[in-house]
Amino acid sequence: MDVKNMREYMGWLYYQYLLITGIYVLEPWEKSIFNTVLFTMVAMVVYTSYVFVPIHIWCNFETRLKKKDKYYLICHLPKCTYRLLELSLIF
Amino acid sequence: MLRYLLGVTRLDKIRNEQMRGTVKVEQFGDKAREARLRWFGHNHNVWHNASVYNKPFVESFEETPLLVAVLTYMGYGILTLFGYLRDFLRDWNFEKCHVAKERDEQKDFVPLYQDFENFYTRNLYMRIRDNWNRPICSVPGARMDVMERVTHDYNWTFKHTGTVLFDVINMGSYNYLGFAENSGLCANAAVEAAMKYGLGVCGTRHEIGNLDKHEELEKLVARFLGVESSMVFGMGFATNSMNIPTLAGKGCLILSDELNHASLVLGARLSGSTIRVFKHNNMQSLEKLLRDAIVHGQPRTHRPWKKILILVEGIYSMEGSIVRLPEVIALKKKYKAYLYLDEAHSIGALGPGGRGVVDYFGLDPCDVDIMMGTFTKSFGAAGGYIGGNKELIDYLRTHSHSAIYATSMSPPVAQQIITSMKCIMGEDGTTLGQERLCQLSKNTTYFRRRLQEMGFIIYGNNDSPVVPLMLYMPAKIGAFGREMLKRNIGTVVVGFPATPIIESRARFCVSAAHTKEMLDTALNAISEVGDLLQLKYSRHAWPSDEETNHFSYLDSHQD
Repeated sequence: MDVKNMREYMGWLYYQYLLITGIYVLEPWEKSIFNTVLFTMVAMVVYTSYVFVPIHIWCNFETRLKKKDKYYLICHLPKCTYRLLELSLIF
Repeated sequence: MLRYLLGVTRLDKIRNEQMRGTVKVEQFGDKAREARLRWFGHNHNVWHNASVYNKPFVESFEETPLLVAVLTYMGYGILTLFGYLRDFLRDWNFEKCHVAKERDEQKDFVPLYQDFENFYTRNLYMRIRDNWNRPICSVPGARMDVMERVTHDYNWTFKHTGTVLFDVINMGSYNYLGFAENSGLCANAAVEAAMKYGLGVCGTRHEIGNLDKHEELEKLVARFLGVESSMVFGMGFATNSMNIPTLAGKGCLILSDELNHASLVLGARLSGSTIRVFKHNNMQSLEKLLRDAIVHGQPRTHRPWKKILILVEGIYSMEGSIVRLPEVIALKKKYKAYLYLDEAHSIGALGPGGRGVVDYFGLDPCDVDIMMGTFTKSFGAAGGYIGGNKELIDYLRTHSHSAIYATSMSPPVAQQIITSMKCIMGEDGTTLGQERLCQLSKNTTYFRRRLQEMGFIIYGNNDSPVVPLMLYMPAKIGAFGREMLKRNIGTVVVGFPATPIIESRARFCVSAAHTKEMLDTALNAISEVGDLLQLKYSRHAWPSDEETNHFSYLDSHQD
């Protein structure tokens, strides 16, 4: 019973997603294209956050702990990320 | 002590409050209005210039919630991208093109199908086209029969399945007093007239197309409106577009409301006068335009204008708002302009006697110079009329394009109007007209109140039988129409270009023929669809007992 309610609720959520983005009016192949593109982008965001967020949190923590102001003495991240991290440390 | 010396005592204060109560002067200062705006996000226009109104003028146009506006733009953006994709595929022959395209020989000329309206029609309107032009196969009364259609190529072509959806509740027809019926007094009289006169008139009013039925109808319409004389025409749209050019010409100024109907706009453009547009129902904007016109005169020569004609409508059908007629008449008298009032939707639907918006505000019909209206909406017929003083109508009889070139009204239609008008006036011996007017007023109040309580955003005046319900998002336009038809209720949904692009709406027309059970069924279905589609955007709850409470809260802060 709960599974059935869950499935109905998920169906209703999908219907809301179709209505809000406007894909409800499109033909099925167009819906598939949009869903694929959106799913790919979301998957890339999830993968990047999975890989990089823990190490960024750890590096920030270590920097504050050891009171060193240079992030790159603790972590071994590519150079471009240091520039971005320095910017974020201002805030 | 000082107040006593100045003569302002407690008795004066009490008398002032009583006076304010009877005359209903503006009780809520600017602070209260700001508070209302902050809390409710909309301007509830009560007591505005209240000294000329004898009853509260309550209109509400709630602001679009910001999130909904952003999501609507996003939806339109996504659909536009897909539109470009489909246009690309059609252009490069990857898919079959169903629309009109320019031929190769025309490539060097001005493009015909590249503007936004054509893009919109091809890519957005076509996808939800099954909500419009639905064929019905019965009289469009309170219930109607709709023929079912299916499409196999995504709305480019339709096929009738052969089945008919019976007894669909009709919330879309302009049937305000329920005179759209195929049996009863009006229908019998129309049949008799058809037996006597036939159906076609075969002539214009100037030639042998002027029947005694037309003369009788014109006298009756003049009596109904309370004017000296009137003239009837065969088509409502043509009444406006063919007669405004007769009344105004070069050297005249036409001040027309922002949201006027296409027939008024067409008539104004055909006349060749200068047209200036004032903001919808906004008297400050109208006054500013009038003052500028009188002070500066015509554009280059600064000569005074030959005449200034103000075009307004009684009820604006897309907004459901009623014109602020007392203020317009006050302005017209002050600046010596002429007023053309188009009562297409308000005649028969407003006012205690059904005489339209003039009757609703309790004003004198002689104040409105030209009263125009149509017989399509409340009288169940077709055609239009213009009423005014005798000189004006005599001038129109000789000079109107409609009288010279257009076929006059068909006799059974004229008889239908005569019978229904006599019924409304109460001259046929029954109380049917008065009952229908009361029923319409009750239905309107009930329907609007229930929809506002449910949490939908409803535009317009509380007394207008046209009820626009906001939908906003493009996909919800199609979804709403289809879901309502599944629940056996026929509705009209409107999008761009009839409304601004993000403010698409569903428009309900309440009728005196709807019983309370029908309205309840419709309201339950609307609530269900509203929950399914998440349409209840209104940011304040209106349960019935709380409504009076919050007005009294503001009352107590007045001094």
